[in-house]
Amino acid sequence: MTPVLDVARRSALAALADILVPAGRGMPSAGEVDLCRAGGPVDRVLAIRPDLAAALPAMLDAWTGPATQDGVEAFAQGRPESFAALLETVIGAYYLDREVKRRLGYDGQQALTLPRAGIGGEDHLEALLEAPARWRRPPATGGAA
Amino acid sequence: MNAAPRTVPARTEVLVIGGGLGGAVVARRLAEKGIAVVCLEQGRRFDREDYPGRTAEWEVAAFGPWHPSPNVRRSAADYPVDDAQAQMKPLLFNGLGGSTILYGGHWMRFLPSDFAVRSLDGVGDDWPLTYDELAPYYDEADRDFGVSGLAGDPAYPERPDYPLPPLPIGAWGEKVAAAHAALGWHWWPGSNAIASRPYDGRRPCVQRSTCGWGCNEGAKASVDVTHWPKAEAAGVQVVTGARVSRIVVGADGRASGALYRVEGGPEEMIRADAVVLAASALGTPRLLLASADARHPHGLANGSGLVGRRLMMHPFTRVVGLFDEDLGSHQGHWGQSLYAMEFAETDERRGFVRGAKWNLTPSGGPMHAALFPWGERRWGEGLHAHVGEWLGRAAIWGISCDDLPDPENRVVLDEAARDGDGNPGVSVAYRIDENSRRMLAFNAARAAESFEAAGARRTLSLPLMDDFGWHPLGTCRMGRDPDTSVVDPFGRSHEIENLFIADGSTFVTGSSVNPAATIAALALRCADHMAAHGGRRPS
Ligand SMILES: Cc1cc2nc3c(=O)[nH]c(=O)nc-3n(C[C@H](O)[C@H](O)[C@H](O)COP(=O)(O)OP(=O)(O)OC[C@H]3O[C@@H](n4cnc5c(N)ncnc54)[C@H](O)[C@@H]3O)c2cc1C
Ligand code: SF4
Repeated sequence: MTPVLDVARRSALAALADILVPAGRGMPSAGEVDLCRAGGPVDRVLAIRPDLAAALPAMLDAWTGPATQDGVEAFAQGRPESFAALLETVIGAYYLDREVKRRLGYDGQQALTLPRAGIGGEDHLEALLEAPARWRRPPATGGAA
Repeated sequence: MNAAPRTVPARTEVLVIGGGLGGAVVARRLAEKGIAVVCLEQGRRFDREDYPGRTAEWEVAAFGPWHPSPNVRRSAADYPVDDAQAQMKPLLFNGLGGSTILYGGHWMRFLPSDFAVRSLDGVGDDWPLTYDELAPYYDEADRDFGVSGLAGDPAYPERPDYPLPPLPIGAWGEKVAAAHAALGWHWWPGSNAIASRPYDGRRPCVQRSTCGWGCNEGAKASVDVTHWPKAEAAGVQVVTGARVSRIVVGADGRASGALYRVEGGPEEMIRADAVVLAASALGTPRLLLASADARHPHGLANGSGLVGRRLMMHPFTRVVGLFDEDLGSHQGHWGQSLYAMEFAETDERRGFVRGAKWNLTPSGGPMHAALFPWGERRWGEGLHAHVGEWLGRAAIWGISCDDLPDPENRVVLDEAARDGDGNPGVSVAYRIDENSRRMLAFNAARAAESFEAAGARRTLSLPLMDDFGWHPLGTCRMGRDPDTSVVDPFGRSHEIENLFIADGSTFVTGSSVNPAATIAALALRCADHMAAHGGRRPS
């Protein structure tokens, strides 16, 4: 299968990804985790998102820069649909990266065991169980319609 | 190669069109009463392993091939839905199980007042039946779907115990419960069509929180799990990949069957003594309108002109509470942790009539946190602070507003856009009125107060989340008068006595609550009526 991203597009995407996801608050930038590497998270996203795989090359080819915050902002304003595809690709890929997940303290969605007893909030339920009914009784008809 | 499998019979007693919620309930019930049923479903069968929830890429899939909007998903089973003129965008799923494959399983009965909004509040229309008439069917549906919940909610009339105990409300639910106790506001542990214990071959929920993209455990009561296996065991023949293009009416004025294609194969005709439409509030009017013929130039069963009109979708928004501590809220059934009916009944001092139901849910994963339209720039410097503030620390109030019928809110055929078999798509017009806008604003402000009382450091909300038209309803309303309704109180078409509708189309008003329990109860009632009277209207 021909890769969706050739070297030139990959590096264009990497430059944009670094603007979208800079380092900060203990989290790495997109570039630090090499998000756009061949076989990396971006490719995993594109493999299951044919819609993004179709939109991204044209978007990257049409990108005239500059790869700066202002340039991306202008692009987001001017071409919201293409920008949405770019953002979904980069954000989706970023949170797939193992190092990103480690630093975030997020290990994916886990299977948990339900507690055997108790649901929480029991203390506050007592009062409600004794509360008077609060529903409205309609006139005793099935309506005329 | 593409020919319909020879196993599709040329004739049956009852043809069910659509294998979603209403179709599954009707088919199972009729088959268990010994009636021969064939179901044609345009989508495919799913297996628990198909769902993305157990994979690392689940969120990426959720925004694409598993998106609840057919316009994003664009699978072969989906038909074009032009929603450019809709102020809420309809969501649905096409496949065996219908929208229950993706639904949250929030399992709510209508309030008694929901059946009498004209009598009580002078708006909309009364239903031609009461809560009490539907209650036995609600009870049965609760058992069939294995609902988890707690009886005794003062917002409702007395009811039997749920078949299963409630699911945990979560650390975020405990905070909100305490806040509502202090505020004197209603709350109640969520009722969910999600197993809290092993039930009828289903495993209990593992709280993975990916319910909206298919349940890998089979804990969520989607009808491919709860109904179709039983229906097929009782003899129903289900044909998937079978898209119906029109219903055929004979010279005697009765439905004689339907034309369909299996996976793009040649057009075939199946004959039936009775036809049940269960193709959803978009798909059902689509078929009735597309089945127009010389004697029914405006579509079948459309003497009232109401086929496709009175579309309701529950104006919806969310309020997000962000808490300092890690509540573990990226896990938990999604499903409702708890619900609140404090503002569900009319109080005209609020500046609007009718009310909203609130459901509390967990937060989702990091991609959902990052891409939630939270009003600030979703990339660059603010990204990490936002996701850090949200992931596991957010709780979400979903606010679902009662929807009253407006004949101009409607579904029409879109001849310009075609599905894979060349059938016209639909175009949807839907406007949110001033009453609903006030209701949204009032309830969003109160929900923010709820989170503030629960200790949230801040809240986020939007005036309307127009992408979340979870509940298309009402496009073939029921009633007693053929001039002002499409079907009778049992779902039988006024005009074509052996044509029935058993899906969300028949709703008269929207209520504020989620519709699945009511669709299921009405479908059971319709099936019992059919079994008793067949394709002949009782005299
Ligand atoms: C994401 C999401 C979350 C939801 N969450 C909740 C919730 O928590 N609680 C709740 O109560 N409700 C919820 N709902 C709503 C609920 O799922 C629907 O109201 C319900 O499933 C509608 O039932 P139905 O029978 O009208 O249609 P569906 O269940 O949508 O079934 C219609 C079926 O008909 C088939 N069909 C259509 N046209 C044709 C044709 N021409 N030929 C053959 N087959 C056809 C479709 O493929 C589909 O399978 C949710 C919905 C969505 C989309
Ligand atoms: S949280 Fe429970 S119901 Fe939801 S997908 Fe997981 S196991 Fe299924």
